[in-house]
Amino acid sequence: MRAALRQALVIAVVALVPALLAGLLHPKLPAWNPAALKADEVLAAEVALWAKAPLWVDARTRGEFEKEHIPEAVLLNEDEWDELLPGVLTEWDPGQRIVVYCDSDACDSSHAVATRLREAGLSPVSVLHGGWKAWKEAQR
Amino acid sequence: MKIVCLLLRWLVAGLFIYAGVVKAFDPGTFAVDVYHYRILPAMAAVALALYLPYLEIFAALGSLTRRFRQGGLLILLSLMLVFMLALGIAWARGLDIACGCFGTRDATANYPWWMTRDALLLAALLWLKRMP
Repeated sequence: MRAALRQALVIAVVALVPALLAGLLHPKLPAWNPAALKADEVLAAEVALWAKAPLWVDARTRGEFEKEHIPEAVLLNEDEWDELLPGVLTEWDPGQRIVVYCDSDACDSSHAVATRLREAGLSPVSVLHGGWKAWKEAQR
Repeated sequence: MKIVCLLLRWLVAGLFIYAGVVKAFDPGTFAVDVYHYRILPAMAAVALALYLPYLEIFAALGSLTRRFRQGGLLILLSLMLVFMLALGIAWARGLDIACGCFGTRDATANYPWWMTRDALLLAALLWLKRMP
């Protein structure tokens, strides 16, 4: 048994080497690595575990929203802010979590919309890490 | 008996190597699968998703060598017990998750089949561990 434990230890240590290399170099590293998250961001996988569904706010353009969006999401972008905000307020139950998303990590409109929602007194407001693309990925 | 033992050894090692390679190719998907078990925090799920595939591969390779056979089998046995425990917890919680076992995804959780498969693998590993 002692010899088996010693062999197992050697194997476990050797396996660390490619694991560490993968952590540094792998092209398919988890996009939702918590270390990469900004303070107000949440992961699609995390949201899926919430007991109560959040109010999804789509910060993309109307065209993108109409093409496809997260079920039950409401549209709210900066271009149509004044026209769309009343609709968001109607859909939102006070206390319900709001999660804003745009297309991917490359866009910043979700953060801008989240900031304006907080300024309007809504809380708690989070941003979906990786946006629409990450949500689609999490559904596969 | 010797031939059966040899065949089973290669079959079991092949399964673990296959499972490890598939997961090593896509640690992102595997990390999500691990996270969905709701046992580990996100950071630990990511670390495990990066490490576990290589542990499976190296332990399986070790089980095929004379020098590391017992150590490799010991790791594979321990992993099977952990996998079954994790599946059991998820099943008891009624989670509809992907197993994450071989990289492929069932449409819905299939706990009876996953547990049966793992139990068979566990039995095979126990038998191999007792063989000289």
